[in-house]
Amino acid sequence: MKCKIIIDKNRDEEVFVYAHEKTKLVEEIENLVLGNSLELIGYKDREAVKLRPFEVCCFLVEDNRVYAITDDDKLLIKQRLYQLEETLDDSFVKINQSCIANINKIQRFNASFAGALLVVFKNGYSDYVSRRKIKTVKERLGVKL
Amino acid sequence: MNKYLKSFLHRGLIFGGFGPIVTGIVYLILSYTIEDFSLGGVEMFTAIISTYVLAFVHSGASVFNQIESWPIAKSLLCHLSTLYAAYTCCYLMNSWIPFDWRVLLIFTAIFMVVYFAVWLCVFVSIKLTSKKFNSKLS
Repeated sequence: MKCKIIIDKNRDEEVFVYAHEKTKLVEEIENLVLGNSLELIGYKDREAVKLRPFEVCCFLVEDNRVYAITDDDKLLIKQRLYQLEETLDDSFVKINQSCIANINKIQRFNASFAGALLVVFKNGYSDYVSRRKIKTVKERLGVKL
Repeated sequence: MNKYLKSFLHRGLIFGGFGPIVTGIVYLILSYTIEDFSLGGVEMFTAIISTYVLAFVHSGASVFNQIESWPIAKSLLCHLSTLYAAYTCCYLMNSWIPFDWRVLLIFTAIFMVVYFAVWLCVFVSIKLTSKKFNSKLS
């Protein structure tokens, strides 16, 4: 696939993809572009910080509050988890009742001795995949059932 | 109320009913296979109540594996000891095993072997799943 980038400050920013079919690469480009256009507001020490979904490792609920875990920070998000689930693209998947994970930020999956499937993110944070969400994660990763 | 205790009670209440159902099935099988098999009212009542408690504890105890602040060894030990206590009490109360230390020893050995066999099956299955998932990560 050819790639051409035109730097022109006088035009609106837009991305065109000409493809023969919708491949994984096309989907990834779409997710990246759409993910880039969605902006969230995170709060740290009462200061608002602009946040792009692709920067987030996961969104999680703690003490009835929603937080975004980034590579090196933890920001409070005002939206509810179900609202985020509806807004976020396919690179995000709900792994348990209180966590939505960014697949692109997952480093590896581990089997824990307690019999749970653990997700280890690139920033070192880990959370488990609940049994009822394993099927969804399988489908999202494209693992044959 | 502590969220883990709440979860324990919640799971116990959902799955506790399966205990008496299993008792009923076992009773049915025994009554068809053993001639003149019968249980008295008190025996049946004790069996129903104790299997309900057993199923309640069994399903509720899975919450130990989800207490993230606990080390794995602690959650595994709590899960194992809770189940062992529940099963031993249930078996003794119903006189399914006699109160004899030699029998208790054999019972404990069988319990441990079955527990770790089940644990190994679950662990291997999760390990295979994690391997499949990892192969799909870029």
